[in-house]
Amino acid sequence: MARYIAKRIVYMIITFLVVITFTFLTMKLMPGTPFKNQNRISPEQLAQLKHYYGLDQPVPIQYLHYIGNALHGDLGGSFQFGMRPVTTILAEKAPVSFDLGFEAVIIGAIFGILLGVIAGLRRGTILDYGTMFISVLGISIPSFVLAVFMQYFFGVKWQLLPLAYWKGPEYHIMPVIALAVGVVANVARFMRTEMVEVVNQDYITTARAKGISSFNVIFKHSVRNALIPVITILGPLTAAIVTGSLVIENIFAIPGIGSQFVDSIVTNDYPMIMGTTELYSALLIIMIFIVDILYGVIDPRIRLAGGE
Amino acid sequence: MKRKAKWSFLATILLAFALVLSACSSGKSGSSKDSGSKDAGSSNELADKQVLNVASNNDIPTLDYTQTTDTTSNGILEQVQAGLTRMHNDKVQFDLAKGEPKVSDDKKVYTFTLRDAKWSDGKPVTAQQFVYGWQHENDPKSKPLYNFLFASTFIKNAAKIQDPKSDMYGKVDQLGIKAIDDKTLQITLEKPAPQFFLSMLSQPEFFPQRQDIIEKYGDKYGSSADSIISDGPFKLASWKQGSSYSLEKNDSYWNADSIKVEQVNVNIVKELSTRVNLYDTGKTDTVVLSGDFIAQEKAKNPDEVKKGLTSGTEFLYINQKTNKYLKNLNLRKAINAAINRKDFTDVLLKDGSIPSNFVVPKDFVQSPDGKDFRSDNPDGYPAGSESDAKKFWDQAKKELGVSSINLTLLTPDGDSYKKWDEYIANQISKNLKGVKVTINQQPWGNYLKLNQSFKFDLAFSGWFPDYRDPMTYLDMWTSNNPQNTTGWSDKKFDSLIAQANDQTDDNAKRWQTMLDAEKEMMSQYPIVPLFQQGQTWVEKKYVKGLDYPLYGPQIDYTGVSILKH
Repeated sequence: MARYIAKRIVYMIITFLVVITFTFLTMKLMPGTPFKNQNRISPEQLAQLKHYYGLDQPVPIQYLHYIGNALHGDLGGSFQFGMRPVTTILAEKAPVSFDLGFEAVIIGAIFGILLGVIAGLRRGTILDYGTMFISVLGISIPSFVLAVFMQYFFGVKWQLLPLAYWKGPEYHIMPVIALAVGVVANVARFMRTEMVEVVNQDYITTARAKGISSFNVIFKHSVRNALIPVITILGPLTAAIVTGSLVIENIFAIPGIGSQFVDSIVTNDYPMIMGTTELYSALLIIMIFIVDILYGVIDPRIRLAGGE
Repeated sequence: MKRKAKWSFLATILLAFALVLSACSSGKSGSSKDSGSKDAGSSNELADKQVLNVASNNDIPTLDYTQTTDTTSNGILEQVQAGLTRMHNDKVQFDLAKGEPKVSDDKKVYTFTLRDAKWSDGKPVTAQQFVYGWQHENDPKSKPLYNFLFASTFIKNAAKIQDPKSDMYGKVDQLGIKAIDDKTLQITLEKPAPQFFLSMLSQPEFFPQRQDIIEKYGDKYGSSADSIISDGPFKLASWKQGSSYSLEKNDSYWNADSIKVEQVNVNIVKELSTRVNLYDTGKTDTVVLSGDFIAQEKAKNPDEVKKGLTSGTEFLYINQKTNKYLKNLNLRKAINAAINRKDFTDVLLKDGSIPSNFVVPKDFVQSPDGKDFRSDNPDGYPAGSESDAKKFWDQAKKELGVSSINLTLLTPDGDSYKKWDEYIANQISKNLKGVKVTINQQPWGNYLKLNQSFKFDLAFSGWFPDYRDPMTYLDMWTSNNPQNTTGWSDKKFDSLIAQANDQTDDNAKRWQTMLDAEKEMMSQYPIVPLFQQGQTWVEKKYVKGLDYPLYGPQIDYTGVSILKH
């Protein structure tokens, strides 16, 4: 196991380096400069500014500089925010997005699994159709439509919940629900399909024949086995939700990192593009790693060190 | 797949139904609120708490005055700091300067006496701080982004200090500013001071600065509320980037008695619909509107919707450098006449924008005797009608020997541009039979690159002024100016601009020369002027004195007071 983990970590670092390198090179192909007023200053002044920030050097040299600095924890300054360190901005904004995303994924997963289990066990009943109806709705309605609706009814019309900002627990309710509904729907559908398959397996019939309580049959034998595919989608789903909450963050005026994924590219803010990409890829790589470890915990038959 | 599609269809119907329901009920609640707020408006008594709440789309990128390039940052600096002069209600007022300066006979040397003003930490404002502020702004080591304003104002040696090829490059001690003593400041110009000199001094690039603070914070100067110090009407009380900031009345400001509002809280809300919802539920006192929200608020709160002009002008570049057809004056005139600007502003934009067939906008700057630049032709030069367009096009076809041409319209990215582009393309193809317009939308960086390398036929563009003078809209069209990406070169226009720059000793004469220059330009149509941007916003009836000036801070809070409500 330790050897497997060590090997995985080496692969993770290599993947991460490939992502950074590829992003850096493609980013430098984008036309334009990070200087917002480049159309107002003289070409000489623009050249001077590029020189100061090392943007006039060949791309491989710039890349080596960047990696060198990054190894010392210096990701550069953001051109959009008066050269404020990218690390400071990420440290301020990313936790907000992480809070929102993880809350949505955890709540979504719990409800999704519950609904999926119920639907799977009561296949063909009104409960099954009801949950699947909700789940299809959840997949069809984009989160931002739901967000706008909730904001209008709960925030404007009935004024039950704060309609924007990120100041206390009550401010989390609407954005978390808006993001979680998609997770619920996805997880519930997967869970139902797996449950339907698992409850028809021979070992479940055996377990029942042995007189094991139905609680234990469901949770120890069925759900555990049905969870594996669900865990597989939860990894990338978490990374996507944590970083892809841009629209929800905008609608509820949540000071997260979401908008920087787009803004930094549009403004040629090189250090910020790198910072957000690194954050996203690290998160995705780590989530996939955790999922792989979880496989072994849930299903001992999956031997991680296998094949040797 | 099929099943999912059916479900989503049902979901759409349900949603649509809910929308109709909500629309019906919102109309009712809107009208009842209206009658309630009318009573509030009738009283003129000031509220106990002088607090203004604002929801804005724009965060402050930075408050380091050498690094600011945007109107929000500059606007906040103009509220928390002060210069020799201040723009208020479209007039130049003396701020840190104690009244009119002493002017030398050749109008090249201005001597200002400073007031007894203090910074918020109690230290006095001195003439040496002005000298440091100006030198730091022009020091290449500060990597300044907007110091070309010093050269535009003809401050002595500024142009040479900024030019990497000059012997004087970076020698900031040669800049035309000197502290005679703590309270006396002498500014020297290369030419007699232009008319806009005093208004220019209200810009943050020309403010006094505290060397001790700038050196203490280094790279972090101006990146947080505590790394910036105030000598203006307000203090920056808090600033959470991407989330909110708040201004607090600065009691140590020399003119603090004139400031009524105690606190201004600004929340950053990127989504317009959310800002409007916050306004409708009373969580914010003012919001700038656009698009469909203008009509919606006009229906709900007709007395709270305000309208004004901005100094932004929108126009099309015409590339006559690489497109030989566009060298033809009649073709340019035809394109100009083909676009119905009135429908553009009144039907499409509806935000207070006005049609323009001019270069220098309306209500922006007045002559030495107080006449607006546009007073002789307020609606601009005659743009021509659809039939004129046809006539010019027929002539152009004859002169060029073609019956049809294809043009590309290059524009930046963005939702609003999409609608605008389609309108323009449609107008040109509709009124000029045989002209086909292809739209080419590009991200800003690529747009600039294509524009500057003449890879377009028509290009959508806008311009905001750098200083309060017609010249900021005019001198960019001279033959070798990098901003003139039309390829238009006109000797008469060039010489008129050069003349105006040499006439700073006689402002009335210079004014007339600039009027002549605009007239010359508008007879040649190197560009197609489209409209002067307007701005529509809502403000609660208990808010008084909130100003969005055409020149000066983006939003001026210094005149705000809050009535009892």
